[in-house]
Amino acid sequence: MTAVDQSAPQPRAAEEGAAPLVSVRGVHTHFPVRGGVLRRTVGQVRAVDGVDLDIMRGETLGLVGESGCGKSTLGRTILRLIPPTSGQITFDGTDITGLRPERMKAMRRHMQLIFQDPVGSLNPRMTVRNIIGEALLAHGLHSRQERHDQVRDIMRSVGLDPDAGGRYPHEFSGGQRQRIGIARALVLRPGFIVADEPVSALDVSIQSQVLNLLVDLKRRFALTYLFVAHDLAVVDYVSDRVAVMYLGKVVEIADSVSIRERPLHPYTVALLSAIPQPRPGGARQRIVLAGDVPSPLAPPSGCRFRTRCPIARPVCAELEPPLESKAPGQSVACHFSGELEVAA
Amino acid sequence: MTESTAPLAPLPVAAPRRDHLLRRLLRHRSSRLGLILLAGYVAVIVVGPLLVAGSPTSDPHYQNLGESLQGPSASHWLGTDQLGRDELVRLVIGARYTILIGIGAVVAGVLIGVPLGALSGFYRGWVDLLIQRFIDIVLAFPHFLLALALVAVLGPGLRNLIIAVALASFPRFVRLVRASVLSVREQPFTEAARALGVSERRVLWRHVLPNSLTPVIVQAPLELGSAILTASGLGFLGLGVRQPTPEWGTMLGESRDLIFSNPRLLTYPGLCILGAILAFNLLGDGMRDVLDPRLRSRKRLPRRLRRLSGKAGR
Repeated sequence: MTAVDQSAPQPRAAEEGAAPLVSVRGVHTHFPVRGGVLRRTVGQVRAVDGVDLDIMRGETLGLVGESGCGKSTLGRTILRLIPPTSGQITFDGTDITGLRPERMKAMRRHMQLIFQDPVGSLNPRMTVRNIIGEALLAHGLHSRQERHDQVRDIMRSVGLDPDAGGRYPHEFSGGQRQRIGIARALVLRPGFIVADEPVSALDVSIQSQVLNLLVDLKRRFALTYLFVAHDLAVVDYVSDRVAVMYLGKVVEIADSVSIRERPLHPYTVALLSAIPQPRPGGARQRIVLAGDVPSPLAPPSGCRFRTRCPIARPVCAELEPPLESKAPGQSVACHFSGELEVAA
Repeated sequence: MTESTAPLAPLPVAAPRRDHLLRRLLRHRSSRLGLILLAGYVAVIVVGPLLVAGSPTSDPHYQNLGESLQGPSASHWLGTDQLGRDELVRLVIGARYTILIGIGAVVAGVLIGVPLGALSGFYRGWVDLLIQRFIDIVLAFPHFLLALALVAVLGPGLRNLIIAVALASFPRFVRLVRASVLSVREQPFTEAARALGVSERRVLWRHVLPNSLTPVIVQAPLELGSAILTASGLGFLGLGVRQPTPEWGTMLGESRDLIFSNPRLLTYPGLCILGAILAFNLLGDGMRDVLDPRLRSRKRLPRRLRRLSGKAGR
């Protein structure tokens, strides 16, 4: 085993006072929209628009929301693959927002990304062995033989045949390719993983295998996950806590049981009501949200959800509700939290 | 035809053996024809000089004014030219120059064009701007005119001819690679490499460039045909390889006054040039079909295969 410095993992660090592994403060990530002949900036896509988030050591934080709400962008901003427009990201006590390239490179050993697309995320011209081993090479770790052993090691850990290392990605199935991506992320033995919709591109029959693998690896390698998904059922299965995003903002964050049993934000309620129920006859009432997500180029005034909210009132258009603690361990950004209930 | 159906190994990973590129090219109708033609040219270059050796006329420069402008005969299969040189010997010896100029120019064009295009597409910004405006300037001149001007400046000769043709054609490789790099650099695997802490330079050389070269491989044979045409054109104008050297374009130019009295002296080198260009174009066509599956249509399936799939459907 490698001697990657890693403080002892604290299982379920939900208690107050423990320092979070990742801390996000007031992060905005905007993308300029250019137009006209002079390519002048004509607007800003506010993909992430003021997010505060703590990810505790050893927990899995689920991040859900509709497509386009900025959840993937937030994940990439935390890894500094996309530079934040403003705000601060702290990883293990170090502010990585303005870290110089050499220090950032060293930091990358401890934080990794698992991709949604198991085809596009693997270089088709490299063998699996080289894909997985590249990280070791990039960080100047280990001799050729050691690298080889480590790659075989991690391939076995993710359930791949170590003898298949000489093959190319196209020779593998979707689920196996996702395992290659997971092996690549884990070979440096990082402490923190952003999983960007790791199963949404897979067949349903494969999804549970990969999910169980991720849960299993978390235990084995003492990992902390930020688990991005749009499927609440998947997130509920793996997460300790869940954050719900809407149009660049976190609207509700709570432990996964509270989210499931007692959602307070009307958007969360609507999302939950959209989960298909396995019990015949016991159908809950579905809350269908009208219209599309408003453009992140020009978000609505006040509460961003008000244009589609079933319980919106005039005050929602004027005052933006802050993310406030409404119950122990549960924060909600809504003036009328809890008023919309799930009809069981 | 019996297909051996080896029992599939119970491996966790199914491994369809990738067909060798050459075999796929041979299966494709037009590239097969191109390859056969090319093989003919290569055979002439390699074996030809040995076959025509032996007699005093086997020297392409051997002149015998007493035997000038003779028709085909047993001693001179394709007759002689205005200086009494054996036409067949000159054509056989000339093959090497034409192919050498073509390959030399394209290799040089690729060596200049690919790195420039890669830098341009990968780093974008001012690097891109600088390179692209430079390419715009080069492309503003008609291809042939530029080569002509370059030879006029550099002076005639084999090496200068290669340089001139390469400089006139490399911008196309720059554009091609740049476009390809622009799309590949956005692929998730380049982001994955960055997330691992791989340096930008390594991302370019190891991840982006290898995945951007397919269009170049397809374009190269087509450019070969065009390079040969340009070089022959320069030769025809007397700006190519120096006079006594039996380069086909030069031979055409030397004989142009005799087009009515001895048309065969223009016909033979002309056919040789035509064949060479045709060979490379056919090969390029086949390569595009074989290497780019998106362009492969059902019609292109070999007849035998089509019949087979039809039977299987019944």
